[in-house]
Amino acid sequence: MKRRDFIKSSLLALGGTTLMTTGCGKGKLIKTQGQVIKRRFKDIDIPLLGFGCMRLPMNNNEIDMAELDKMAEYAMAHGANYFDTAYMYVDGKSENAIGKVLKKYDRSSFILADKSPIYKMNSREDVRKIFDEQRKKCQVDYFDFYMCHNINANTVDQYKKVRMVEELAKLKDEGLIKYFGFSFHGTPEILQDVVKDYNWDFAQLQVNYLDWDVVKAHEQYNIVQALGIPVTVMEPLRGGGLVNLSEKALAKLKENYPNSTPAEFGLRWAASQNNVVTVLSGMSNLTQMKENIATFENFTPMSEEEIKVADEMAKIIQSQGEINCTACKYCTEVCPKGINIPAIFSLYNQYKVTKSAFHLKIYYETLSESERANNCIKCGLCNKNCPQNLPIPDLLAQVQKDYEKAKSEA
Amino acid sequence: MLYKIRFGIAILILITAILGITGIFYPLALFDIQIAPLIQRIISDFTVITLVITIIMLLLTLLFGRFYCSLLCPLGTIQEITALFRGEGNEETRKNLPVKYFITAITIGVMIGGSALLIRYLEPYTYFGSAFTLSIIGIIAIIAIIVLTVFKNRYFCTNICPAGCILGLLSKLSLYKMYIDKNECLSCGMCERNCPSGCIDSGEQYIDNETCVKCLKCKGLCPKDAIKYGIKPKEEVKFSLKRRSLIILGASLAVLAGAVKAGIETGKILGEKIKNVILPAGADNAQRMLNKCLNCNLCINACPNKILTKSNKEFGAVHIDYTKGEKYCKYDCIECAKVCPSGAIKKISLEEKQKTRISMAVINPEKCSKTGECINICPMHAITKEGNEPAKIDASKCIGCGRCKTVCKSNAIEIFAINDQQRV
Repeated sequence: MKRRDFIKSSLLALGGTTLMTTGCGKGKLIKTQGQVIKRRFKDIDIPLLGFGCMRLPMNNNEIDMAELDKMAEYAMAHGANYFDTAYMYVDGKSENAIGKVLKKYDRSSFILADKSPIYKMNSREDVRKIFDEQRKKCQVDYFDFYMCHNINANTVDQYKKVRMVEELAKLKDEGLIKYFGFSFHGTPEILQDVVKDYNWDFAQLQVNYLDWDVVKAHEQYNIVQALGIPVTVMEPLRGGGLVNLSEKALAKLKENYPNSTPAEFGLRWAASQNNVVTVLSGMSNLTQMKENIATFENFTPMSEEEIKVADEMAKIIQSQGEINCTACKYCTEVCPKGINIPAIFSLYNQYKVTKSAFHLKIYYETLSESERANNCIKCGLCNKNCPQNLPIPDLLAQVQKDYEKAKSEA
Repeated sequence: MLYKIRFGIAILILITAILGITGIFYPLALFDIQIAPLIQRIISDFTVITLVITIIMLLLTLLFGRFYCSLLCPLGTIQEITALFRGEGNEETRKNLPVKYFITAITIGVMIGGSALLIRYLEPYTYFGSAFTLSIIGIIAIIAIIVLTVFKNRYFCTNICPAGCILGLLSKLSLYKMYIDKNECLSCGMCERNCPSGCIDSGEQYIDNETCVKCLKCKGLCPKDAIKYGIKPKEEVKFSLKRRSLIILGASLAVLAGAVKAGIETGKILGEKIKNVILPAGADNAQRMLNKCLNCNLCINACPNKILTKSNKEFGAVHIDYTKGEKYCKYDCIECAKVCPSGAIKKISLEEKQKTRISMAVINPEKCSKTGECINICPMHAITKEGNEPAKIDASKCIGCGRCKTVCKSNAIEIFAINDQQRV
């Protein structure tokens, strides 16, 4: 090779790499016209927007198969080929429905994620039995992504006892699972322990701009990131809580970004985290799907200003709601029992908006045992410090009561 | 003669120590100079005084060898008394086994890292304290050591005890040494047969100063007065680090480093979740207490109200049990902090103690019989009552001494443990 050519090609290569790195943002984003953006994960490219199959289109208490078929078609046509289902979604009907609509596509053209229900497992044998059942329901031979479903304070013992990891690792070795991970709704302490159980391919966490601080989502995120475990995001819009924003929070968004919608903003926030490979959104009709796909066709990671606005919005959301807590944390400074009062009130306020007992339960359980309301001894030290004059011990008792109720319902 | 004087003093010290541990009389100074608790106190409650005392103790050891073991250590004297009944008998010179360096590196390392988890179970002063307060572990340990003494004399001191190991290393370099005057020695073997530490080789006319506890027994027995205690004349001093010693040194240091790291981790994990225990003022929190308390139990009998209880199923270190003794913590008393040799209960002043919240009293308004007995008894004047309302506690003033509960006839007051002690 001539010197001139060598210099030329080197410059070209250099230019190319710079273009790739700067043009594609932080985490190697792959852009194609008319398709949702993709991110590299191990040896495949996966869409940054995944189809969460917990809230499927419904018609008279039955899954609206026609609408679902249309949605799947639209998603596949736009490269959003990641489908995330689970054993108990839509009363156990989600897997069947997804299996039916995906049947007409080549198996290699879509990515299917499913989860192993910990609560169902009485023995190690059950793990494989249920896995086979799920394969039948979904009409597939293998799962691309497969998880231990919902590891938390209540399930972690069962998960350890039946040695799910060992059994599922075997299935992975047999090629029936391509990537093995877990979905998590527990405390950072439990997560610290769980990450050591296996060389996980990925972790499914609840990541959104409100929970980043409130229920210490960033701590969970940091724990898995430190180990180089990529994250798939669930609850990016907190079960709709970040779509139906309060007037004040919405005003904050519109004042800064008049063209932005709460859903778009929330999804983009979650997708902008470096270590996130896909953000799962539960879409219940084609319109929602079209909106979300549009968001991800032209996705750019959030700027620092946008992230700042999200922080401010989180603060506004926290300070509003039935309990007028501003999260100033004066109470936690004095609480002799170390109860995380602002976080408890924040998630309770969310519960009052969404009325979702399920979310109250899972979010409440991401707090450590010692941070929860039942530790309150009603000494009243917090009352003295609260600038809002909230009757904190009584409110804590109320939250605890509602949580107990939510727990018994679930 | 010297031996008898030394032994006499040692017995006096032992008696004083027993009086102290059983709560009859507190020889503060005696417990403040115990070696392992001293090192622990530097880590857990650093004061210049502690440092000075430690340095003095170590300097004295550098001057006179490990005299601590046969003079100040209560367990050492117990062994010596036991040995009186076993007669002579170190048929052969025992080897100076290297395993003790590793034991010491591990226990002291973990302690430096921040956890007393191991030292608590290997330290003679703790054994002594817990045995004389009738703790099972202490009693078993002391019986085991007495049995060991019957068979092997001061084997514990020379081959297991971490405090002894540290002092032994210093003793090796000490100014005053035990040595045999080779011009006088007949190699009769009298000293060797009677040495409790087995550190004399009468054939070689050699005394190993590392394991010699300076009991001075041999000095009195020697028919030719050939055993000297003083500055050894420099004759065949061939100071050479043998390869073996180097390997042991290197390995011990590596073990020490590992142990420090393990200690840091242990300190973080141990007791992290425990929140329901009430501790004496100056102990901070359950996690710290569990990592710093040696369980010597000296404070238990020092407490005038007898509310302290030894390590049990609920909590692995000394803690307060308000169902015991007088059932409350005396307001103008700081005895436990005064006597604590390990710094687990920090040496706070009485004023500080009176402002330290150790738990929290809460009145159940439904149960309160409104007689107001608690109001005047509260040393903090934290309880008030208006008209016919139930009594109220001003939480910001309450230090959780439990006094109010002792006078409440309607059982309306509950004392709750708190996570961390707070200043009011």
